[in-house]
Amino acid sequence: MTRHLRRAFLATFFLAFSIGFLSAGTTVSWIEGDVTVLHNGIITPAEIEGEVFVGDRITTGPDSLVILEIGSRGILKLRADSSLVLENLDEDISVKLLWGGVFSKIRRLIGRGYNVRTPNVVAAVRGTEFFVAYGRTVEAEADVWLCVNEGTVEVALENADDKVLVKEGEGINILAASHITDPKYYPWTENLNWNTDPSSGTVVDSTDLDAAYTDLRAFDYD
Amino acid sequence: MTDFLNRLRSRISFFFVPVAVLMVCSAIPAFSWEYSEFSIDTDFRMAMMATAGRWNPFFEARGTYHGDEPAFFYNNLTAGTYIKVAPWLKLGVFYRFQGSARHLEDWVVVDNASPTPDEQYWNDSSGRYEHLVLADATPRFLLPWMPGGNWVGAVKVRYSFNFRNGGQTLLLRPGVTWVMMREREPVLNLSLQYPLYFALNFGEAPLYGYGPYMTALWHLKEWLKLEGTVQYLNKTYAKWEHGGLWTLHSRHLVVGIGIVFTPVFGF
Repeated sequence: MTRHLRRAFLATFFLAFSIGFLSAGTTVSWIEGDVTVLHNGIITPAEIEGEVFVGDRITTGPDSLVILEIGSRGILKLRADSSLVLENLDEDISVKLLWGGVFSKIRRLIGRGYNVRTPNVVAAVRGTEFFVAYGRTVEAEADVWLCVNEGTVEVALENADDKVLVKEGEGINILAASHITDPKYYPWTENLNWNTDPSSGTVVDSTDLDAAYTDLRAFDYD
Repeated sequence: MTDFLNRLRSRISFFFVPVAVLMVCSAIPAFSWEYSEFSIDTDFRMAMMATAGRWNPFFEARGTYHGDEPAFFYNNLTAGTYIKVAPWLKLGVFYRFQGSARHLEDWVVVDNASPTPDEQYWNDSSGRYEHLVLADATPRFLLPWMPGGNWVGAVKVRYSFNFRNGGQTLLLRPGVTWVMMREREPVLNLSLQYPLYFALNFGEAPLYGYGPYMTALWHLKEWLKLEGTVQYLNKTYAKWEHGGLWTLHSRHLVVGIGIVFTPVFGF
């Protein structure tokens, strides 16, 4: 009987702890440069330890970045000249990248999902570290790059059956938001700064995404 | 006054007209002969153009068979590097070790009171090796207004110095390249170039070589390319010798294949 009571107590404790842990708010943990938050139609400068909510739009200016902690579930790092909407912060987290680039570092939580969306693309994961960014606009829509540093990411196009699994060390390009290239290693991703901990070094990522594209002027073989 | 001018004019005529005539006559050869030759040549090359940041270390081995004279086998080894000093400009310095190259001094014309077209020939230069240094500047420009996009214009400017005979040449090679892209990656390059070879310190033909040069280059892998080339090269060997001007028009249809390794070290 005592054993059953002890088990019930422990289960209740862990459940309560987990609920409290998971429902912890999303806060701004690091800011560099100009970062604003659009909340209920009002734009205010972001503040460290300030809370952000579902529906908020966070925008970074040039030479700026912001790091968000989504409770205990993950960290987002928004690059310079980027904008992100927090669409869902419940059990499943969903953010929508409007422009620029975002690093996601999501802890593995069983049964819970994390999505990064652009208007036509969904990247779904269950614990991983990856980067999503808009590239050049070669055709009607901008390209979207996705690179995985750890874990596996499933990428799908909305309104289409195109779907691929991107593994650690690989990247893809979603061409004009309409076609996903085969995953492969891209040398330019070596320059990405995955660090989200300011105490262990710079968190600024200044990777030039133009390097992801072939420079036609480089072809000279004699 | 009029008398003075008339006397002056006659003195000028007396002294300068014969001098001018002599000068003109001295520039006109007593005779001139022109010869021509044609061959279909085959060219093979294996090259490595690596990328290490802004640097492009380069190594090349090349051999060219001349169809009509199988014994004549031009060959070279080239090593050096390019450096990208601006997105639109690469500079390069190379050392070349070449064998069996033909030069103007290898073309022999026979001193004969009444020369005939048969009295000229090439000295055998096979097995003769030379050291050269090359300096290269190649500006490149995107041509987004061209139909189909993905066009690049370039002008290769290359100076060479031959340590054996002191010969200096300058190559100007304007050209355009169209790149076929698939999923933002290059698949095929098609190039049309027109090299112009200038002799800086030898011969009587400053522009001693020219002709269209076409290349198709397949991007098999990021690190491997295959190329096919066709060139129609007009070379002119001209020299003043035995009181006459001797000219050889040497035309070559050169068909080539090559393999190019393009590894990337670091980023």
